[in-house]
Amino acid sequence: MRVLRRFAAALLLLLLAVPVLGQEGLGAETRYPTPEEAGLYCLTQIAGRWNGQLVTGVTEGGAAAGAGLQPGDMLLSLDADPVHSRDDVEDFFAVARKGDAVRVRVKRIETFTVEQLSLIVAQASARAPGGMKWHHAGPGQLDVARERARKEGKAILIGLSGAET
Amino acid sequence: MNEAAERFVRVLIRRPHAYAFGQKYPGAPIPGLLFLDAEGNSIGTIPLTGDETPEEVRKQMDGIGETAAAGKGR
Repeated sequence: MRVLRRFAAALLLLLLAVPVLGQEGLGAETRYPTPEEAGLYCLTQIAGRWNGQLVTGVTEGGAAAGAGLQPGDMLLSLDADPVHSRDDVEDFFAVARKGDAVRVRVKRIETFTVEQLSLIVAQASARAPGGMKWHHAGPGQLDVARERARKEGKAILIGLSGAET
Repeated sequence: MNEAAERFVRVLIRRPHAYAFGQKYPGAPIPGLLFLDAEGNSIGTIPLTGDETPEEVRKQMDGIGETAAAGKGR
């Protein structure tokens, strides 16, 4: 029963959220690393989730390709937002605007170095109709949200999702 | 839902960041909605337990929005 209630709550929050279709904003496919890959890349954890998304494919001519992302890169963060899931990536590009410059940190296994790349958002992610539209995503954008709230004389609404991603 | 949300700058924070955020704001519901003023002080919460309807959530959001607006006018 408790599990069902939590599932229903997660569904409601998803209804409030704006679903994002694919990872076209990034221009690359990523997935959650296996425990072996996490060990190989020496990833850190928060609440049992590895900080990283493994880049498995890069769209030719896309934003990630333009920034120099390569398959095998471990995507660590987008601007100030650490990446722990595909949803983190999709949320980031759902609120990004075309032409935004994004600092992308990746770990490269061949050199075992952390590289900072610059990615230009080529297109906003597709959004499904309806649902709540978010202005910002991730803890790294809270300062920007507070500044915006001050300027616009608004309060801040934070949607906290505990759903597995 | 969107009309009620227009009063707010809206930020989506997912697991696992939501848990770290919940430590900073004790009582922040996960899953749920946390409302802050521009200085970062908590001004309300709406837990999402799965029992409430979108209409009920909207009414609570309206109430928090009105309280926030009244607070600024003081």
